Amino acid sequence: MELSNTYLRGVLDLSALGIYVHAITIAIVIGFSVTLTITELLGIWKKDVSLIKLAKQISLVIVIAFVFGAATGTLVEFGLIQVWNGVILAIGSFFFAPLYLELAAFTIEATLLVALLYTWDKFKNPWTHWTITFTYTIAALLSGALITSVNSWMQAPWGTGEIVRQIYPWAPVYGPTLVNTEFLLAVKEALVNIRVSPIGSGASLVNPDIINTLINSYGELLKDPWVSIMGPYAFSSIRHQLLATTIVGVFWVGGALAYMGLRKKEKRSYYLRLFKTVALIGAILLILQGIEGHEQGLMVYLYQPTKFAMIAGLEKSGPYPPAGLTIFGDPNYVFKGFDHLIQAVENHPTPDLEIAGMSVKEIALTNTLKALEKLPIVKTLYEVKIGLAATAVIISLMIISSFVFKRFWNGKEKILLYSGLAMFFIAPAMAGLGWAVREIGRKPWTVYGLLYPEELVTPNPIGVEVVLTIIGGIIVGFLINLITIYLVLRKPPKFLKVGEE
Amino acid sequence: MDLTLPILVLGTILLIHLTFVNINIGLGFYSFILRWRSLSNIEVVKPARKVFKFLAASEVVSGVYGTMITVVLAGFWPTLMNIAAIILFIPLLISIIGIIVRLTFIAAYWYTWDKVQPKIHLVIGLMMALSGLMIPAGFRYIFAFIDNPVGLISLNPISGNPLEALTNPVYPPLLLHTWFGALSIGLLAAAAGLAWSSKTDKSIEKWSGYAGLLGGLMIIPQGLTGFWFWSTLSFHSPYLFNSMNKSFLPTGYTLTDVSHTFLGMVLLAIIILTLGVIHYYQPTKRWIAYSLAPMAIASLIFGEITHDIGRLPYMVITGETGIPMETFINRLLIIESTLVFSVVAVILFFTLIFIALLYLYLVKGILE
Repeated sequence: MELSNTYLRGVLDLSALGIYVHAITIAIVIGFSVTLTITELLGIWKKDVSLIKLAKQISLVIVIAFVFGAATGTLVEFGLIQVWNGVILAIGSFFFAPLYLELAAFTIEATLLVALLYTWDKFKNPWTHWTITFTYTIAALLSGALITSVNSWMQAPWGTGEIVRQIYPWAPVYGPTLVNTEFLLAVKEALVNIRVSPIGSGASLVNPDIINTLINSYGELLKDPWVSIMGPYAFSSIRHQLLATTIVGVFWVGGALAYMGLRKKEKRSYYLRLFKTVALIGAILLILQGIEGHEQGLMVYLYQPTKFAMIAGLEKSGPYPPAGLTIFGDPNYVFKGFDHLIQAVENHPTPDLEIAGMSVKEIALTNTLKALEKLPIVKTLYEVKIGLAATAVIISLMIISSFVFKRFWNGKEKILLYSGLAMFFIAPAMAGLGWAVREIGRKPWTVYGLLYPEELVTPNPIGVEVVLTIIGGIIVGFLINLITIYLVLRKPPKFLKVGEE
Repeated sequence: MDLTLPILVLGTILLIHLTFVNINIGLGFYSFILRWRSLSNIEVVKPARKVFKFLAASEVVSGVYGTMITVVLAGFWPTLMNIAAIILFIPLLISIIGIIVRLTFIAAYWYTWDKVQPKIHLVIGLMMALSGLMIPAGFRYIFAFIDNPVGLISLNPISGNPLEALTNPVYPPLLLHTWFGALSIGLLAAAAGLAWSSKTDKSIEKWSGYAGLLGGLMIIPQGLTGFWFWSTLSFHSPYLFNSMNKSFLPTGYTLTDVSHTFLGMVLLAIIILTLGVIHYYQPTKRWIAYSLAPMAIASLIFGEITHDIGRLPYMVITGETGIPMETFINRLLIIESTLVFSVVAVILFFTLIFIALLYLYLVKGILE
């Protein structure tokens, strides 16, 4: 009994919704933290009261977003464990170290956030408070880095060596073999078997009988607990995701200041000054992201051949000038398209090898063709994202130029504020599209080249009540989050001494 | 992997989580009760607000630790977590809904204070208090399940009847016992907090005494439901029952003896009941309130140790015997004890700082 595609599509969409809403609070927590650290630093350094006031307001928003982020995070966590409970096998192995370390980062984050909120103006030396803010931000970034490393392992399963290549001849080698090959292949065999059985879901195989039998037969599944953090794909992804998240947060602060500057004429110069300071941080980060984007693209090229072909729109092999130029210095460099990948499968070096009675050649061909189906959507999403990124770079250059060509911008401040307002929407749209490309681009697999969604989904039917609970919870949480931020900014707590807006 | 370390990690995090969750649930009700009394006595608004502040702060700690438990369970006991996620799908969903409803009503209760008619605010407060009960209503099924795995048909592949799991006979007394316990602990924590505040504001003293009385009296229904739970265990989880009564009754087979922690819990409950009533009549003796809160927490810890250590060496009890803990322990990789200890040390260190900050903020008031 194979699970229907529509059913799986629905469950995947539901998970995506949860992750996107959670990502909004994450963008606030991480992006605002970096903004807060820099704003407070500048405020203390320049003895600028308005920057300190802005820093206090940012800290207040972070606290609210953190609380709701923890709530939506719990929802996403339960979604993962209840709906995709086959992933528990990975949580107990590949993800153990990052998730376990994340607990420490999360605790440090929660504690220092409370500390920094309630100790504003309490220390004689303001740098003491800034040290708390800085340490908090490091913990927030560490938390984000660890979670990204988990996702990155699903994109490029580092430490599995040539295992994926045994099935897909076009696949690269994912580092040294740090996983117990026999164990993993036995799990894979059992998963393929159960997919065509009346049970349907592989999640029910993550049980003590099977796992203990495999361990007794082959030994531990994983030799190095740090494998998901150590891969080059993870390193690049961590930088790329943290930058993207920070950029969103920074431009949300900038956008809010731009909006206030446009709305309140009498205070325009005040808000413009603050906006320019924050937007400069965003502009610099955006340019850094451009450089890092190249590195991330290189990782996709090296470790996710199907995703690269999707992004480049290479149904057939051919040049893809942006990548050709940046990777090989040749815009006419011919990249391998799906035709080449299919050809590689057709000439499978071990066509007689079987997993659960199915030839690896058949498995590889089916899934390569499934990946090809995603090409139009991934290519479109990627192109829209690049278009937005180009716009964002132009706006960033405008912002930077306002510090260099001051006279030119005299009297044209409204253009800057409007562009800041535009970035309020462009930045999250870029990040959202980037994430969509990242996630849809790894399909049809959940763990690239190894595991499928239908092997990990719960054997319990996901009924209307579950869907309503998750969607309802997400919507309610999101609305409360926004309303609370609005109310608290309108009437901040007295101890912050920032007055009312 | 050696079992001691995972048991210690899970135990530590679980106990901290349960302590704050129980305090939180009880504070929700006491804030509502005081708000209700404030309709006829304006002076009661102040303690009602204080109790609510305390609630909001403890919600953060319990939430953070709740997240940790999920990771620790999935990390150290992955197959057990998977069984629970499949068989107890509905109860876990109830808890998730509970978390969403609870946070929504806490936010609503906070924001609508003095902004809507008092009676409407009171209704929101009641919803806020009741929603706190919903979260353990789901999660307590896990504990009932490991005492008596109703609904589990097969371990390989994991299959069961999620609807049948809801009929676990161990669940009703366990849940009621938990609810009354939570009310007692939360009320006694409020008694201690308000007693401290009464040093500077005498008008609060009375409400500390009132909380002490209610918290103490909750021991009566808690004891009755506890007796029901105890007798239910004798039928449906005899191994645990034997562990709990090894020193007092001629029991059957067990490898564990938790009868002394069980006795300690019962004795503490009697002392709490007595002191709670005394505190009501003599609220000026603040030391009584100060001792009630730690005693209530100690009673909770004894209770949990009785319940969880009493199952050893089994994780899931199946009548006179059970499924050993080793069956579920994560052996997919070698987990370095240095990593485990380091993370726990960091968590505990920062939790202490967190609690110190809450203390400064809520009790000393120096951060206000």
